[in-house]
Amino acid sequence: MSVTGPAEAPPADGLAIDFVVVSDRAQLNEIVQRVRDGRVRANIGTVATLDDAVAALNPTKRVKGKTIIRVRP
Amino acid sequence: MKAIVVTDQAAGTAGMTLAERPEPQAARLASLAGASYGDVLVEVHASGFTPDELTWPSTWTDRLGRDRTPSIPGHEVAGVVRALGYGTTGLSVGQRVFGLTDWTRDGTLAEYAVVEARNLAPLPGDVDFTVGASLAMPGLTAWQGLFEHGRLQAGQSVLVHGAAGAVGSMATQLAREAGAYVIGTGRAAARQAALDFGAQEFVDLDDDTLEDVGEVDLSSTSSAGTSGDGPRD
Repeated sequence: MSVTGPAEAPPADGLAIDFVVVSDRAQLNEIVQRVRDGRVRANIGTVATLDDAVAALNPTKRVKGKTIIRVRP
Repeated sequence: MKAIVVTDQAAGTAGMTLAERPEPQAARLASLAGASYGDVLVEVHASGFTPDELTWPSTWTDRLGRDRTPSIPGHEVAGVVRALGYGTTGLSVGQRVFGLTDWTRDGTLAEYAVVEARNLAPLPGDVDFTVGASLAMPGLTAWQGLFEHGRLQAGQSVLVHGAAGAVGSMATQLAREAGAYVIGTGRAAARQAALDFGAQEFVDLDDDTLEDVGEVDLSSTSSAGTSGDGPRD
């Protein structure tokens, strides 16, 4: 499946589903509970301030994990 | 308030600038005269940005197709509720929250953001804001792809593209926990990370081919880098 756009190549023997992710309180609760009890860990790469956000969001080399802008310390 | 804004779609992320934008007015939000039903004002502590946002119409026009620039990108948030509008039962002022905000409104790369209450969940006190902001988009995308749309069942096999990436690592972990057999893909350098997140096999797309994998029950591709026209209503 492809999350935000058409699947690049529909499977020969299957169903391609495109969907737009939406916020869902119950699912967020499930996910954060898994983080708290160690079943799931976050994948955070770079953390930068809002003042440094433009540079952090324009990386010059490939980054691993999610870039998070820490707006307040 | 300080915020990151974009005004030129062709410029991509290079067109981002740090600017001063009007602060959302808490008093107006909470008054009947200016009621925005269901909205809360969030003091942003941490924000996440999905690069594809800048290719989506929702960043540039409102739901009537009118230009809405300058637009504030970044729609993943963790922060504290500072004011409540009407229709926000379940949240309180001072509460820690996280979630994914409406793509067609100003986002969260800012000191404050106005967010529909229904898009927010409580963020437990022992989970850092940085972690909260990192969970919303990858977590919801993986959850909805695997369980809502993919109807993944224990014992099924799932092919997770980009298994060490932000969404892929979440999909790998959630699928494993649900009892699926996870085959991750990615660049050779991502192999160990994908295995560490729980993939049972790894297909190095530089060297191997997917034909070697055989049949799987579900294949998961996250958004990054695809050329879709982005979120629609």
